[in-house]
Amino acid sequence: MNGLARRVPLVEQELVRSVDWLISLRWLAGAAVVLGAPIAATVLGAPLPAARLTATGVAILGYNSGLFFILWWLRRRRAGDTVVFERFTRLQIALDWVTTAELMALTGGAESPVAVFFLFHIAIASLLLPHKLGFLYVGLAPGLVAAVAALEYTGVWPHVAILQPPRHQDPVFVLASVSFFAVACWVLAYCCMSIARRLRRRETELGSLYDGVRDIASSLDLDEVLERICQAGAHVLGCRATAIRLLDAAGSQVEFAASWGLSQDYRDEVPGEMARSRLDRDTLHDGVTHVRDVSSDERVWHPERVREEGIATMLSVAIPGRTGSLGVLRAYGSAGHRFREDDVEFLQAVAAQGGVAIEHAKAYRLLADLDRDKSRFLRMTTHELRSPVRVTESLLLTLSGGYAGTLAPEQAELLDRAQKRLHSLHALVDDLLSLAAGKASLEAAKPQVLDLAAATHDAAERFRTVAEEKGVALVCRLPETPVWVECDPVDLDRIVGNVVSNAVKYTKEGSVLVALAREDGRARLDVTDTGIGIPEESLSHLFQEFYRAPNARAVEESGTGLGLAIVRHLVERWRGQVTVSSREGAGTTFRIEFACATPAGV
Amino acid sequence: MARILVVDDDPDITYALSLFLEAEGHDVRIAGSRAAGMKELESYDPELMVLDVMMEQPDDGIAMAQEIRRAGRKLPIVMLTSVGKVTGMSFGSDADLVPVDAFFEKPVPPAELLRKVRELLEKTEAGHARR
Repeated sequence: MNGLARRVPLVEQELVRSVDWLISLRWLAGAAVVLGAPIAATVLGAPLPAARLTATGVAILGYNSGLFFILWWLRRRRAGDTVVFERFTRLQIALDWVTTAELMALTGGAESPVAVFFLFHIAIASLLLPHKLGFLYVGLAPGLVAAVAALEYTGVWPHVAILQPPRHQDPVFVLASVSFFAVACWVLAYCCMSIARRLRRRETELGSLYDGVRDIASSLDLDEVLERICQAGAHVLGCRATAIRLLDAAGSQVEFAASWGLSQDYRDEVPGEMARSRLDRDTLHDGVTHVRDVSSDERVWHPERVREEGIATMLSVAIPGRTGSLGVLRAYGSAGHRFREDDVEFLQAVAAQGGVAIEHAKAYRLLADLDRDKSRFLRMTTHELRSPVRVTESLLLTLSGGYAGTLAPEQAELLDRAQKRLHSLHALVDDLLSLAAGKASLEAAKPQVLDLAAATHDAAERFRTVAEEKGVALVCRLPETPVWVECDPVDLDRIVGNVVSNAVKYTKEGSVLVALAREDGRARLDVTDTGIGIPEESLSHLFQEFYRAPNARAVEESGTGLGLAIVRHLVERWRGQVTVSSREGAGTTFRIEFACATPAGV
Repeated sequence: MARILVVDDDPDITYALSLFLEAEGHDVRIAGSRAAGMKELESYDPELMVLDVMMEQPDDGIAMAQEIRRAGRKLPIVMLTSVGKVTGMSFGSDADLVPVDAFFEKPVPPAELLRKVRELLEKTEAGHARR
């Protein structure tokens, strides 16, 4: 899930470990047979075929060596492939059972105590191997025992008599031994399998809870969060369907917010009013409701429709929030499904985690909505604020142009002052809005790979006429080849334009040098002027909104103090850097740096 | 002089425009909407048009210019905009998209607009004369 490493279930880890353990144990068993048989035969004088037993012991050690190497190879090549390890385990068990049957035949057949050794493998197989055809597989052990007993009973195989008198042809003894052994095998298998099944189920539940909870919290999208809660709930409980019904702000409606495994028709038909949905009301009040049978539970709305959906039983828990329940998480079971006591705990755990995630997602959605409203508001105000200023300017321009009759000198002077103030207002509104819009529309900006050299050229050329009129030399030193940076074209133009405009504005004589260079993968734009400079105490405030250095006010009264704030904001928005160095009365250098980018198609 | 149609939903702008266009000696007709503008186009048959980019719809002016060109009319169109750089819209690079002859950003500078009008009318006359 999510590209993370798969968590290896405990049973698989145990399986790999027990394969190892079986091989170690088999060395001992083989050695015991090889050494034990001659000792028992010679020292203790037991009537055993020592040579054949020793040979069997050697065979055990032999195939164990083979298994040892196979395991070594599997560990290196097929680590984590559970199916392969399962097959390997079955192979070992089969080999062991055949040799156990052989040992049994050599030590008295139905009289032999060796049959007990079958039980080890039955325990291991029942606990660690998949249970499909489990009882049939386990049946192989009594089958082999029965086969040995039968062969000796009929005299096909010679009997090794360890009891006197021999009982291998006593039908009651043989039948009793075989059947008692078979019952012991199956009872043991049943016990182990049911323990294993419970443990596996609990492990799956815990794993699902862990996965579900991790996934629930990993999204801030409300719909996605709700869907994940439903999935986690269904997965943990292994039930037919799950659904979340959320309470509205007034607490009078519960609406389907997400579901897993339910038809759309069913979702549409279930009532939303709290007054009519007794089950939801009870769940929100008591925390938990359990409907064992939808047909006979009076709290269930329209039992026929619910049964038609294939639902027989329901377990509902409240989804807790900071200030009260957020809604209901419900699990639906089909006919024959029974929710258990610990299902309540699991569903509540999912609901609790879900509640936190829902609140986070809701808060995030609220913020995103607010942000969108703010952007929309800004866009509207842009037009609404700018329009009247510009129309008024148009009207005054018509007046001052003499198109409505000649103006007396005093009238012209008044009009000129009004126009200047209006122009300041125009600039202020533009700057304010571009600053605010820039801050608001961060996500709307589409990065493009642009040529900073071309952008610098275009922006600087706009100020050539103004500079020449003032007698200031505007010199551009740009590389011949494009300097690629990642930016938005409008932003880039405004950044360069603002800095060059300032340089020209605050330089009375001398020059403005615009130099662009590439250095260590960075694009560096220096705009150096021989202008009024910036007093040292002003340098640290320079990029603050509305700040203007005192000597700047002396040059131009109507500046807004937003130009450099906009520059810094835009440069940082594109992960660049802007710095300034200056000496009052001597000049200023603004340095803008961006990381070089690679143009598309290269 | 020339018959000029001004299409803008802002009466203050149309008033100012008609003042200086008439002062120059032009005959000016005002239309306050795209629909009214299209009607005047038929009845008044202007020689030049001044068109605002935003009316009821943000792109009414552009749509109207496209409609006029599609109908095969070649009269010069001067477009007024108040959008500019803040909204990130830039014009002029794609003549097919916005088939007009000149752009002016509000506030409208009368002298420059008049100069442009004169220039466009001369070009049209020259075109006619050649034919």
